[in-house]
Amino acid sequence: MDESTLLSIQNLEVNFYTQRGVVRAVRDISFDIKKGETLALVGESGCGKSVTAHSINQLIPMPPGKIDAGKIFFEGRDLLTLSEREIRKLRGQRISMIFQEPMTSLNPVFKVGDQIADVFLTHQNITKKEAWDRALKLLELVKIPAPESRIDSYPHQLSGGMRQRVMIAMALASPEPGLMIADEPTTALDVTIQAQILDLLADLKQEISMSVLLITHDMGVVAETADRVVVMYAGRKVEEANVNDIFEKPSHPYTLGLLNSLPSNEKYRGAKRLEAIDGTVPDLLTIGDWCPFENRCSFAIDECRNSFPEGTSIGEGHTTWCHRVEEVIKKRNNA
Amino acid sequence: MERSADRLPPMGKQLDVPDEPTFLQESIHQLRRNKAAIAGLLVIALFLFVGIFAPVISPHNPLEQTISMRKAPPFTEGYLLGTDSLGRDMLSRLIYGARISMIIGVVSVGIALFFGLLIGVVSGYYGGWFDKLVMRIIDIMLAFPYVLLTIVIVAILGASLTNAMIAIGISQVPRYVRLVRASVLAEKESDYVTAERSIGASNFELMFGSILPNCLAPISVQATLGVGEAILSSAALSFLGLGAQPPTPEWGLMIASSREFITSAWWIVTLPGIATLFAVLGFNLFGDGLRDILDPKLRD
Amino acid sequence: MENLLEVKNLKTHFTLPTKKIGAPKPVLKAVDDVSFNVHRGEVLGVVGESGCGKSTLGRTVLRLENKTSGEVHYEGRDIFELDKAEIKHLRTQAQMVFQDPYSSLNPRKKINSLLSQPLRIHTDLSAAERTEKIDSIMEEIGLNPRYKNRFPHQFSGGQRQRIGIARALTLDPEFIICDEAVSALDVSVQAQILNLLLDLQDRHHFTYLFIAHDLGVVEFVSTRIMVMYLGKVVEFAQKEELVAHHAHPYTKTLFAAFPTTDPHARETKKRVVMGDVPSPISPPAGCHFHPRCPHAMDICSKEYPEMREISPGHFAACHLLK
Repeated sequence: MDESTLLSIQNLEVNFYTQRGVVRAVRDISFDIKKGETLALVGESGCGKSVTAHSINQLIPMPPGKIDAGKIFFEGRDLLTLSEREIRKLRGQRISMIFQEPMTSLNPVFKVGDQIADVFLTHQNITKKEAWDRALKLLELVKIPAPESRIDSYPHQLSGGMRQRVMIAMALASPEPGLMIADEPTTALDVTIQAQILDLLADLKQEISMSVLLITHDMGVVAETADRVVVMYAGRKVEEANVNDIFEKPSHPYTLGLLNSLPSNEKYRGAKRLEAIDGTVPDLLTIGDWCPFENRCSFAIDECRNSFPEGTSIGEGHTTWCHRVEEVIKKRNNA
Repeated sequence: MERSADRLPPMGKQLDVPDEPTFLQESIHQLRRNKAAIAGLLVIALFLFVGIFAPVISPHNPLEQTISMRKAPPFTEGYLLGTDSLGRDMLSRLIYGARISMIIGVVSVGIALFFGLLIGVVSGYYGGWFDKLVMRIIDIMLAFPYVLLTIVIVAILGASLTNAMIAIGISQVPRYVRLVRASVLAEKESDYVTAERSIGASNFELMFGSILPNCLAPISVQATLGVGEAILSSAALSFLGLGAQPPTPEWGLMIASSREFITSAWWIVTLPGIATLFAVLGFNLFGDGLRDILDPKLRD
Repeated sequence: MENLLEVKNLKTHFTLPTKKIGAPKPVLKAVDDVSFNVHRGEVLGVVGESGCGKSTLGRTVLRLENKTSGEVHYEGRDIFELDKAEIKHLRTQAQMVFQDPYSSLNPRKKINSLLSQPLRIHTDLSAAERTEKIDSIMEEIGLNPRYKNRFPHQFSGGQRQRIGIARALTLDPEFIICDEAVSALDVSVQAQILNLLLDLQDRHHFTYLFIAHDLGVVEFVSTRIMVMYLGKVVEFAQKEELVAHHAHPYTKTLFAAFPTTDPHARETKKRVVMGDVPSPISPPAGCHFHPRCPHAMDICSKEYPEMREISPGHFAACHLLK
């Protein structure tokens, strides 16, 4: 693993063993995140993006979940072989997480300052006063208005946007932030607040060299913040590229379909209907070794029902997993 | 304008709905995994069976006194569990006692549920002065020690088994009112209630047809546990002479009237006690199992 | 152009319990003096962020919420003056599709029961006729009628939303309010449902009031758009006009904040978005937007601006636009 790669997920497989059968949530997922890079894991509900992210920090409930295969290398160490104690040392120190709903991930009975300071105190040998001073600096860093008074507030006294800033501050509370996992960080926020948070994340990227794994279903958020994009569908990776290529040269029927589903897509100026993808996501209980998108794909052929495609390289850092790549590219170029 | 009654061609592909188990199927599955609940259910089934078929399976008439066979110990010929101080067969009395306990449980909880749900739903749905009045009355009732409340009511109505059941039923009303009212307050703001209101459903239909069915989970747990409690309360009242009257083979009465024999003929006092224990235990175990099944967070 | 719905100076205020004994009860001015018309056959989009009152507006307009003052006229009649029978009739003409497909269907009822309920309440159709109608509506919205004996939890979010739409269709209404009807759905499902709603409108000539917070969706689906902020309408225009010439600073903020799908735009995009969305319980004095407005003048904190027609059919409430 070379020096510039912070996180490397290799052939991850996560299954959930429920009374109704085995849910194959994540299959053969591999991707790398370099230092200072923002990678967006994009897909709709049930695609496995959250499960993948939670596997990094071993936050999957096991049972019924189980990581059946794969390695997750973080700075050279396979996280899946570490003990609970060793993982806990990394959590909050080098790998931090921010969630969608900050109200439920912040403890309502403790002041905001306490909660940030706690992250310092858990991992470092400093006094409470020092921890509070650093907490205050972090609140300034995340541009909370009037941080000196906010630090004494309880979570319910803050608005959604401010709570999310506090979460980001907590995620940054370590001497060298390594990886921040942001799981739908702006989905629950109003669009104007979302814009502020996205701006903040962009600014922080400049000021602190931090890698971000961004989990989202919102292509707009991806376009605004990501460097590279991995598109997931029904537990599989279907396309991977840098952010410009994903939007300008989508090469998988699902990616194409996803971009076509956005009403804000320029092609719909004056249009009467959207080019929607028919059908629904297949049941992860009965999914087999074929391409999971075939039942909704307008390009599908017999081969698609037999096997999951190999990766085809389209360009620099751009790979797609589809049996019908040429036809997809042709269609895309003609559209 | 086209009317929807004319068959219009379907739009788009027909979507497939995966075969998912119903609530009932899943509940039964969950139940099977909870050993204690199954045990409880078996005990309940046993007592129901015994109670229903009492005349058929009972070896003797529970009221028939055979003076020559007084205080016969268990395993005496013809009297499997012995006889009591008046020569009546213990087994028969226990069997008929099961029937009585069953009736007590069902009637008391039935009364409590009927009034409790009615008042609770109306109170929770309409709110206002009625709700406030109801809650104050409930608060007052709950301030009384439960047993004292039942005693007071029986004292007013007169000592008999029927009145004991009414008293127990009334005493249990407050808990159902509170429980269902809390559920109603939560559910009445749900989208589905607003949706049904928007299609013109009447208040009555909303209260009892839509909201109440969604509040039944905690109530069914409480009702199951309530049956066990009713049996115990009736035993307590009979013990005090306020419930069943002799010669009724009610377990509590059997214990009360045989206190003096606890050393000389222990089976007369102990066996009804054990029967009560098992019956209540059965309901408690099943009720707890029901709570586990119905709590969505504990499901897989 | 006929007005199906006319709303004049509508206010829906909620009095909240006091936090301190003796203090006056706070009033939540969810809808605060809103006036607009809905033309027959159009899609009027209502867009705004949390606390703007759009959902409350939708409910009040269908009389699912009590007004505090003002008037709502449906086909010329004041809906708050109707008697019980007339309200019942109103329910057959105006329907609502709700946001959350998981909570807008009664979990204890089978689909058959859910869809036949409106028919049982309002019509004399026999059971067989009801089944016939339900089957035809289910096919129309894309679900096989054989699934009508299932419970809501056995369907996916998108399918449940279709059932919600089916329910709205059972009474053959003319006017449908879509209250964030696609907001809780995945993007690909959202596209399907939007197409479905538009197809249904073409077939049945519905009029829609489309409430949403997603600007992209509202822009696509609407004929005219109304922008709300903290209980008031701040701008109102034909869609193309609003998109091309948004006048009110809040509308500009909204458009600027909406993430585009062009990664190159992020370097050039300038954001003029400040502050938090205030609470509708104690909105700022004067123009509600002035604390966050980059162009706020002195008068903005004192006087609420009147709604003015700044170009034909295009209205905005802002002191800057005199």
